[in-house]
Amino acid sequence: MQLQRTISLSWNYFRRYVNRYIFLIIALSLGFSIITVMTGLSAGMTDSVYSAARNHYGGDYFILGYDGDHSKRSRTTDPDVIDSALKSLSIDFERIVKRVNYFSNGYLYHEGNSVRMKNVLGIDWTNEPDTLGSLHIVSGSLDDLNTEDSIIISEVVSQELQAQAGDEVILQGDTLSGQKNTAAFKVAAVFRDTTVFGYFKCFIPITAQQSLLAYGEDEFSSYGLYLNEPLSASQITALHTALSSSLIVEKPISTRTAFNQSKKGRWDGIRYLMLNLGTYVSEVDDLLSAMTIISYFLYIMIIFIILVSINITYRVIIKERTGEIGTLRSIGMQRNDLVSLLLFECLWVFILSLVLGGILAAVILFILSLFSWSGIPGFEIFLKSGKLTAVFEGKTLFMNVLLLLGITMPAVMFPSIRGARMNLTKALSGED
Amino acid sequence: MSIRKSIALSIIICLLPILVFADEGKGILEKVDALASYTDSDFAAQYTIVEEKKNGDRQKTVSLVFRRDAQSMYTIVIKEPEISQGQGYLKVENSLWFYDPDSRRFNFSSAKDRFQNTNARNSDFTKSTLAEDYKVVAIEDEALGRYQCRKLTLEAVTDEVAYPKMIIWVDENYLLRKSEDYSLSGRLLRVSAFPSYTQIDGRYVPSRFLLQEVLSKEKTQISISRVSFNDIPNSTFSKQFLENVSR
Repeated sequence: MQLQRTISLSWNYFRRYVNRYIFLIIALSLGFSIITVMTGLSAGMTDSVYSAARNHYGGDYFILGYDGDHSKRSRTTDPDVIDSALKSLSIDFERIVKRVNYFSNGYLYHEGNSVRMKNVLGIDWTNEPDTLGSLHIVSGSLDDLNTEDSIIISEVVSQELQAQAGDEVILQGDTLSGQKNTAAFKVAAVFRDTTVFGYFKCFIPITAQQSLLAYGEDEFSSYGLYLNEPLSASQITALHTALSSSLIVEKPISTRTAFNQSKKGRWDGIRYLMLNLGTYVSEVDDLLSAMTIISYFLYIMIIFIILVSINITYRVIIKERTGEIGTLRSIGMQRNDLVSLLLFECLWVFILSLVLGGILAAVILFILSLFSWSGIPGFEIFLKSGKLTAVFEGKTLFMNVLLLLGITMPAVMFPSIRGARMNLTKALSGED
Repeated sequence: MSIRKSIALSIIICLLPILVFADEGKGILEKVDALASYTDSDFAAQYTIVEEKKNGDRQKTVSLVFRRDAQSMYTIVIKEPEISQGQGYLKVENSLWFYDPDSRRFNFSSAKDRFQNTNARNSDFTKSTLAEDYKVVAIEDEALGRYQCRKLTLEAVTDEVAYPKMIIWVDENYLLRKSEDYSLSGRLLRVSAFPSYTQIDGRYVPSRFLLQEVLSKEKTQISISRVSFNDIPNSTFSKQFLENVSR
């Protein structure tokens, strides 16, 4: 009952003195909105990177083969071994995506124009609805893709080649042994992808890619696993053990440096690598980590400013209410009850600030989402369709609230205790 | 004559022209190789590559080529453009290395790779090995401008060559005058023309040759100058040489 009375009394006092708390509410609201915007954008950018990378590389976890006898070309020749190893383990995966990828030595030609491709991805149209569904098609259509000569090109490639949907383009590549080979394709669609993955990229049927590069029907360059849950360390170890019994498999790789290092030197036959999506994007991850560190530095600055602002403002408020505190004490209110009353008043301030800060954050994010940021060089990878998007995770929001509460309460605690412990005579006379 | 003998005779009669021109073709290819390779001495020259892009831009690359065809070795040092100065290639035994002075590292390259991102291939600077790499599947006579040529259709006998199919025109002196390079799927990719040769110390050297990339429609002219058949120090065919010239 005592607590209920204190809460009720604090609410009444809060409503009466809300004008005195305005500066405090503004400071807390701004602080919470800034922290919310920063964490939301940071999570949104990370999500954009991973989402784009997932579609680009075709999975969350990868088994890649590199052929030491053929210029270390990306090639797996043991699909049965890999398939049976995956089946034997209790891995919760959505599906397996097999691709034949060809990187920087592919050239596309159209009426004398040429483009050196960065990514020629040979995919199974029917097994990759997510990949195709995620493409932002700007012309043509994905309705009539065939398994022989359909090609989907990026907008940049379309512009360089001056080729539109319906046009014929010639793809030139090198076979496994390095012989020149060509194939004609009809542009089915043009997609827009402003991320770093989207430039000089095209999709062709996997069978056409196998034929172009002289790969066998059961030969692929990558096995991608779309996972429902990330693989645990024990699952990775089990997969490595299962594959190692029949194949030459390197220890699971977790950094880009290790990935690059593993392809150096000479070897005979096919050497297999196991890595997760994070390894592919570890350089971007490093950048995100750096951004997170900068964000946390800014958090600390903001927190320090808020801490000082709250402390000063609250001391002023307590000073202004010295006489009233004396009156409450003289009518029998205990010091602890007085501290509780003042803290509850601050709790109302805190709750109101959270609500206003949340609304302000939503407004800021809405305004930011109205602009296209793709003009900033190198920033495209963090955007979705050129726009900044925020992602809010319950854990992060909870941490933000807790953080703000963690600095607000100590900041008001000390002036409150000091006010409550004030000499009654001095308090009644209004002296500090 | 029994039926068996008749069938055998028919097969021999059918195969005879093929065997004859295959043999004749190999002989022609060997002569072409012999003229385009310098196995009895070292060879050094300056190669100037001028590329004409479709947009009208011209790109010039100058390199010094040192060859010891008897041992299938060569060293190439890039002189121009300035940005590529000091880069080089070293072919010894079966390895072809590319040297980058900025990183001071040697990386594996391939004779089939583009030379300095031009339309020329690394293999365009080495000795000719047509007889080794290709078999002749057809021969016919054809006039090529003022030259009366033998037109040979070639198919690769190894997958180690960049172009699985070729058609070449060889003049009466067994000098290569034109070649067409085809992809595995049979699409024409490149046309090379060798309009002029100069005779130096009794050996033929093309003073210039022209390459046209059919799909990109880009043209490249390669001029060969400052030709020498004098002995080249052994140290030229070493990694250290490339490192030293780039300093």
